[in-house]
Amino acid sequence: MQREENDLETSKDGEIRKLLNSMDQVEAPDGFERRVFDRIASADKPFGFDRTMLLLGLKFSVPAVVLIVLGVFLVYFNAKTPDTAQLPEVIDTFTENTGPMPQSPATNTTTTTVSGTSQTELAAAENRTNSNAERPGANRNANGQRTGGGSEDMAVSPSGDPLYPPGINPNIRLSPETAPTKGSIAPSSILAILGIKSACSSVGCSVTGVQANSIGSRAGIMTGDLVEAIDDWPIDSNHTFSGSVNVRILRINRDGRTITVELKMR
Amino acid sequence: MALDKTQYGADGETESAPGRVVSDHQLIAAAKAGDEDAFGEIIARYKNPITNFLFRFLNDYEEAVDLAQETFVRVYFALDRYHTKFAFSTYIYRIAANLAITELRKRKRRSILSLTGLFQSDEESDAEFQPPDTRPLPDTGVVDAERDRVIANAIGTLPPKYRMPLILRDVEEHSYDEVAQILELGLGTTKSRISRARGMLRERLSGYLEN
Repeated sequence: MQREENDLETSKDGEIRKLLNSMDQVEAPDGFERRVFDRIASADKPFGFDRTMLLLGLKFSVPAVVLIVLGVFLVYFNAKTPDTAQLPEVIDTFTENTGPMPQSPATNTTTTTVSGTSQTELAAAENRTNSNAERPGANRNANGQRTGGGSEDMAVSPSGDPLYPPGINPNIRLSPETAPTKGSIAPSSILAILGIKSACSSVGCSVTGVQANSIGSRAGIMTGDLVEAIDDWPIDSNHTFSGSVNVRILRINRDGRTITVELKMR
Repeated sequence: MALDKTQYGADGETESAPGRVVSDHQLIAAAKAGDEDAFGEIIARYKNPITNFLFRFLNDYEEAVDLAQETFVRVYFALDRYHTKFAFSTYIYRIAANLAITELRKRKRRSILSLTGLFQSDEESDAEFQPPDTRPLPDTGVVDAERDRVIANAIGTLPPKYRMPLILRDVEEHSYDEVAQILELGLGTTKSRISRARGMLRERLSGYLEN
């Protein structure tokens, strides 16, 4: 076997082997055996276990114990119900003191504190409950029972009107009377921009011609139409506009019928 | 420093009494039964080759001695798990090799943590190696010591996976089969790594080779 192995090695390999073999052998120091036995005595198996096994056990058992303690802690505090001994007392006191249910938190100014909870807060909470019961956005069947599903609009008042921030109501539109109609731009000039030639009178502007491929022609304005309003602002020979005018819709009268035409800018 | 290999050769046998040869397995069996003298004999038989093997691998005598002692401690506590189907020499070298590799990993971690370690590569193949100074020295002993130092440094620059089989084969003079068993590698892989290691050493030690 040794001979076969040596056959496998080239002469250069033999040189390396010879060189490595020529190195001095290192010896163990004196007292080596005694120190080994000392180490064996100091590392003797505790409790009959191998030390490595003990360390391995600790490596896994310590995190496991921590997780178990944490789990027990969470379960205990999640399962712990609130102290209900005081809850009936608070409600009873509220009923006795206030009588009928207040309509809104704003009208109930009673602030008598009962067991740390003010009656104002209780009234507000109860009022919110009542509001939820009458919320118009809630899904209900014909009997008024909740059917579940869907979402409820929280921005509604008990009366059903939507609630918006103060000063903002998107439903309010400018009335023609409040429109800024006093200016230097005549309605006929606006219509001319749209490719509509017109003659304005006290009832509106009568279309006398429509330029081909203009905005007016694409919107279907025809000669003979009577333009009564631009964006709901009534126009006549006396109306003029100021500033920028946002022209989107024309109201015209064609053969006695009022038609609303939406302009296409492209 | 020089030691006659016949004193501790890895033949696994010793003469405890005139005309009687005690094998490693007999000593292990006696140590299992609580005979500390038998385990002491095991230590005496293998302390030098194991220390030499670890020293050549780690290139650090103190660390080699410490790991050699730890090797015997591990053997002692694992006596019950030892199976006699393997040669004891293979078994104890495997433990020593595993400890040495673990030590190298610790060093690597330490070098990563240290500031200078940031600029070192993973493998030790890039470690600084001083080429041999071939100028004649006045004293033969000094020359031998210097040559040993250069060879040891050259071995130390080999990657561990090449260094260990080379030491087992060419320094400790184990057979290819034994090296493969100790390192738990295939025979072909073992031979390939040893051959590769020799090629690397040949480049580094060209000044000490005849051809």
